[in-house]
Formats: sequence, C-alpha cells, structure tokens
Amino acid sequence: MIRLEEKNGFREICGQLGAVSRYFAGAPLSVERNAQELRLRAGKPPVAELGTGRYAFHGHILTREDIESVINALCNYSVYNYEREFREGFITLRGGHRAGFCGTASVRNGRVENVKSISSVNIRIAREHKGCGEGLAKAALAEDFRGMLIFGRPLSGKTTVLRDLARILGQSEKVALIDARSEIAAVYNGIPQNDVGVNTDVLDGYPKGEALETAVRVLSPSYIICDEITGEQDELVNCVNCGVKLIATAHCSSFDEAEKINFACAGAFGCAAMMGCGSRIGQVLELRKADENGRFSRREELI
Amino acid sequence: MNLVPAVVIAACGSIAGIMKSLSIKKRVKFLSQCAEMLEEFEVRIRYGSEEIAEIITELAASGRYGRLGFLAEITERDFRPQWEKAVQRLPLNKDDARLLLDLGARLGASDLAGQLSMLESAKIRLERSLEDAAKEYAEKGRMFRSAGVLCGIACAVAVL
Repeated sequence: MIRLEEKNGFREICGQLGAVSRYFAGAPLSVERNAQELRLRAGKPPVAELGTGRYAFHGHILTREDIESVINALCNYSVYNYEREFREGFITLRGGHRAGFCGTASVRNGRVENVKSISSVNIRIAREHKGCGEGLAKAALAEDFRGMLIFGRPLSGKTTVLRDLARILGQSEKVALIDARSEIAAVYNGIPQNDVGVNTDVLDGYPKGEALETAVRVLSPSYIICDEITGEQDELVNCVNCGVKLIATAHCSSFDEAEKINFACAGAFGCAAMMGCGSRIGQVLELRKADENGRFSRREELI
Repeated sequence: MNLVPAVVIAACGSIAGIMKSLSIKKRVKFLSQCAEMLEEFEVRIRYGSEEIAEIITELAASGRYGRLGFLAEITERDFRPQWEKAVQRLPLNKDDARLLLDLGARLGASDLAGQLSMLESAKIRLERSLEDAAKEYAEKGRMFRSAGVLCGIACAVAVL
C-alpha cells in the first residue's frame, strides 16, 4: 500500500504556474492530496483529476492568454530554451512533474517541428511514495533475479514505484538510473530533487538507447533502471548479456502484451509486475516469473 | 549695484541652455546603452541559453549600464510586469518608451529564431531613434547652449 506522500506536488506545481496559480488558491485539501493531474484548457475551467473522479475549479474560465501565460511561466519566461520540449510535446518541471501540451502542430518532413496556438496543458503530478516499491525490491534482490518489467496503463504509478525501487536498491547496490525525461530523480542544477538512493547514478536527459550503452560502459552498475522502454531492444539485450540486472517499465495492460515485449528483448526480463489503476493506483496487482520460454506463467507471491 | 544680479541672470540663462542641451545628449547616451543591451541579449540568448531574468539581473549588476537603472528594478522571474512599470516611470519620449515596452513584451516569448529576429528588428528601430537623437543633439545642442548664453546676456544687459 502507498504511504502518505512527503511533498505537496500540487502546491509545488501551483508555484510554477505564474499568474494562473491564483485560480487554485482555494483548492480543498483533499484535492491537493489526491490530484494526479491538472488539466488546463482554453475556454474551460481548470480541472484536477483525482483518480477516483475529478474536481473542476468552477468560476474560473481559462482564456488563451491564461494558457499562454502558463506556458511562459513553465518555460521560466524563456521559451527559446525549450525548443526540443516543444517538439516532443512536454516540459519537465521542477520536482519531476510533467506538463504535456497540445495545440496546432507545425509539421516538416512528416515530423512535428513545433507546436503553436497551445490550447491545452496537462500537468501530471509526480509522487514520491517512499515504501511503495518494497515488495518488488525484495524480489529484485533475490539470488535468482534476472530482470523485471513493470507494466500498467498510463497513470498506474509505474514511475512512482520505479523511483522507490531506485531508492531502495540504491542503498546497497550500484544502480544506474536512466531518466530520459527528468521525471524520476527530477535533477535540477545537477542535483536530484527526489531521493533515488545513495549509490544511484542518474543519466539525466540522455536518449534511452545511448544511456543504456553509456551506463554499461562507464558506470559498471549491478542494476539499470529505465522508465518507459519503447524501441531499445538491442541495447537492453546488450545490458543483459553484460550481466546487468534490468528493471524497466512499459505501457501495456496484460501479461500477454508484456510477454511480447519480453520476446522482443530476447527474454531480458525474468519477471513482470502488473500495476493497478484507478482506486488501486500504485499497487502491484500481480507478480509473475517467466518460464524458460520467456512466458510470464508462474505467479509469485509478493513478500 | 546691478552688476551682481546681471551676472546671476546671465549665468542662469547659460545654465538653462546647457541643461537643455545635456537632456538631448542624455537621450543619445541612453539609447546607445540600450543598443549595447540588445547586443548582450542576443549573444546570451544565442550562445548562452540563459534565461531572461538571469540576463537582466546580471546586466543590472555589471555596472556597465548605468543609464539603464530600470533594469535593477526588475527582480522577479516573471519580469514583464516589472519591466513595463519601470519603463513607464522613465522620462522617455513616446517612441523610445514604445520600443522598450515592445521589447519587454516579446523577450523570452518565442523560440530562438523568433527571439533573434525580434532583437534584430528592435536593433533597427533603436538605430533609427539613435540616429535621430544624435542628429538632434548635433543640430540643437549647440543652439540651446548658445541661445541660453545669449538670452542670459541679453537679460543681464537689460537689467544693467
């Protein structure tokens, strides 16, 4: 189960929204504590997604100017420093929170080059739930451990669990944490804002493929922790062949889909954990071990 | 007996002329420091990727922009409201104030290419204003000084 969080992500985000933060001044405590996302849309009131429902800040209709002002504030009033982020569609904020946005895409050669006339901003609140990764950490420290894939739908708490795993494993093992979007360690001015363990080296902002190669080459880690793997199969297999234990997350919703990822990675993952969502956000629903064919067929009890 | 007041009147006339001439010169110096400031913004944005608030703070602290005292009044990361207020308090003519207000509203609000072209166009506008100010100083500076002295002397003669 999730323990009480130690930082108020909601307030942390409001402090970065500039003039628009005044709309959230009267937010009920339950909203501050439970908000997972803040959604800002032009012509609509701000909404906090709570996981079990949503809370609309009625009485405040956001204008295009409000959205523009939020974007400016999120970019520290220096938009020119965030061109890559604009292309990718999100900005990582202080504290590891992530602001995604959409508007009118400017496309060149089939790729989004810029986003103009931004109409919606969705801010995901990063959580630091110490203790939520204890069960998985025990499995990861077992003698026969050979890689773990943590999967679940969006907003199921995968990154939160991964952060706590880094913290726990990093207390005793050499851990390389690949934080391509600065969400896990929330490195700010070279210093991780979140507790990711004393023996953890953070590869912040690296493309994942390069980070996996660099980690193996220069950090000699016992564990590599990586969020949201997509197309880095070769590098992942290379890590496993070098004897590094891999812990990664992926977007999928069943063990069948997780198996496909495992097959693509040549069986790099010896077990897979499925995360809950909605009211069971942050909870590991099931842990299964892979058989000799890479199928997650054997159900394991979480310690 | 009338000599002392006559000298004082002559001196006052001369000082008034000189002061008027200096006020035109002051505009030239103000605008030329603004031009240097734009250069600095361009270099720091292009090569340093520094944030606007950081650049303003460093320029204000550097001591090289003594005539741009309004920069020191800008302390917030959200620099635009403070920039606007500070510029509005300056004794500037309409065009110069407009130029600085436009600059404040656009700084940091676009991508790199947008910032560089915005600074380039601000520089062109500023150069024009600077040329006008320099021309005005060349034409009227000496005239105001001479007129002040001559008026002062004329009044002094009248008093005598």
